[in-house]
Amino acid sequence: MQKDTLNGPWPWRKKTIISTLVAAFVLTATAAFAQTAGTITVSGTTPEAFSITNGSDGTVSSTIALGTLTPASGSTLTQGSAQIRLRSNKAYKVTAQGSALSFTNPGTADGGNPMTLSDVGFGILSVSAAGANVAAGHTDTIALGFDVSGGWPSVTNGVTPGFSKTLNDITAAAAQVISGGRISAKGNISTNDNFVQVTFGVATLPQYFTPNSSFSTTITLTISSN
Amino acid sequence: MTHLQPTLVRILAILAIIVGFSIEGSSQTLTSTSDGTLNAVVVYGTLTPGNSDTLTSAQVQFRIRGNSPTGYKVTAALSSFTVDATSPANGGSTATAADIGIGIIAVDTSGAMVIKPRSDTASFGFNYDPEAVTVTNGLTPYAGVAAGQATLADLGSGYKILSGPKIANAQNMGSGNFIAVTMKLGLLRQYFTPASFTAVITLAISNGQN
Repeated sequence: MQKDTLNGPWPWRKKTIISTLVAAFVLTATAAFAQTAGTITVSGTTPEAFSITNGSDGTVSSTIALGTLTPASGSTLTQGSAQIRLRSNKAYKVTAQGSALSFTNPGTADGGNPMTLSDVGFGILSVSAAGANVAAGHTDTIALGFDVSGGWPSVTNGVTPGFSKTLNDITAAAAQVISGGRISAKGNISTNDNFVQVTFGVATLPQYFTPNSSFSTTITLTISSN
Repeated sequence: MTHLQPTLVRILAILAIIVGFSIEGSSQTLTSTSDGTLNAVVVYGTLTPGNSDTLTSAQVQFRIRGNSPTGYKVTAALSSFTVDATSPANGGSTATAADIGIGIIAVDTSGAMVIKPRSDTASFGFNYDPEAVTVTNGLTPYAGVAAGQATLADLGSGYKILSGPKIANAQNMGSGNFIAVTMKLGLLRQYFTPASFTAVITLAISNGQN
């Protein structure tokens, strides 16, 4: 007589019935527990980001007007400056690229010297990174020769002084002028305390250069990853 | 077959009980708007910081159905938040779950078979529009669930975000017997550490309003 247990030897028909019932249970349970949950997957990328803006967080398009450079006695340099704000989320560098001097209504040289890019000193007057949202431990390094925070050189004999760097030094090729670690801890371009403020300066001594109605040059600043 | 009957009857009885419990415990469903499994994907893309205080937002919709006399509740859990940095933090901040606001902006109960009148409640902190929050000084504006501005960081292992009474008598995937819920996520583009991030939120519906 066969034992009435699942482990005993059973005819195939009985095993089939049991298998079918188990399968039906599995399918029913699966259907009953479906779709009580779902997922939302959110993704994004915070990219490397750098920006240069003016002191109002707008596009840098500053004009340094040196005015009419009438030669006088003494050693007083005519100076100008422009402030920019730098932001970044990683180490950065800033390069400066100058353009050739452009003269309007140039006079006759007649054996004299026109003003040149070498007659205009260029450098960084100050760097400020004191904002609360500047990255902790942030430092900046002014490239050799471009630090004029201590003032411009003295004038001797009423001729162009020995500037450490002039516009001529940034014209043949872009030159790195300042670099540093990550600037901004967070925030965006409108955040008022997550930037490095750099003041660039230019200076020249009014001299008896060849006359002109005006002259101009453009300095392009670029910030990028270092 | 005589010796089969007692054992088979016991098996059938057990299966009937189990199936019965299955049907009774799953009187709620949460689906996509096409009544399929909800697997929503929000791709923010590249979040380059700008000079605007406009929040970057995205919406997700889902449907809920339920015929439990005790009502329903929807919970949200932050299953994971992973960040893959491509540069060191170097003293700065990296995007976190606390930088992404989450709220329920619409609960549509207009379905013909949805029981009315009714009151469905988005939990405090989740009953707001993350895109409408005022940004100050270009920083993350969300103050957290206690301040009425929930973020992904508040979800934890499960936070009730919505609840209400029985939705409809019919529980099949038909039309007119569901509530359509719209959620919104918000984020402000900032100078966070260069990285990619992924958050997975799990929504679940269950019986009872508490």
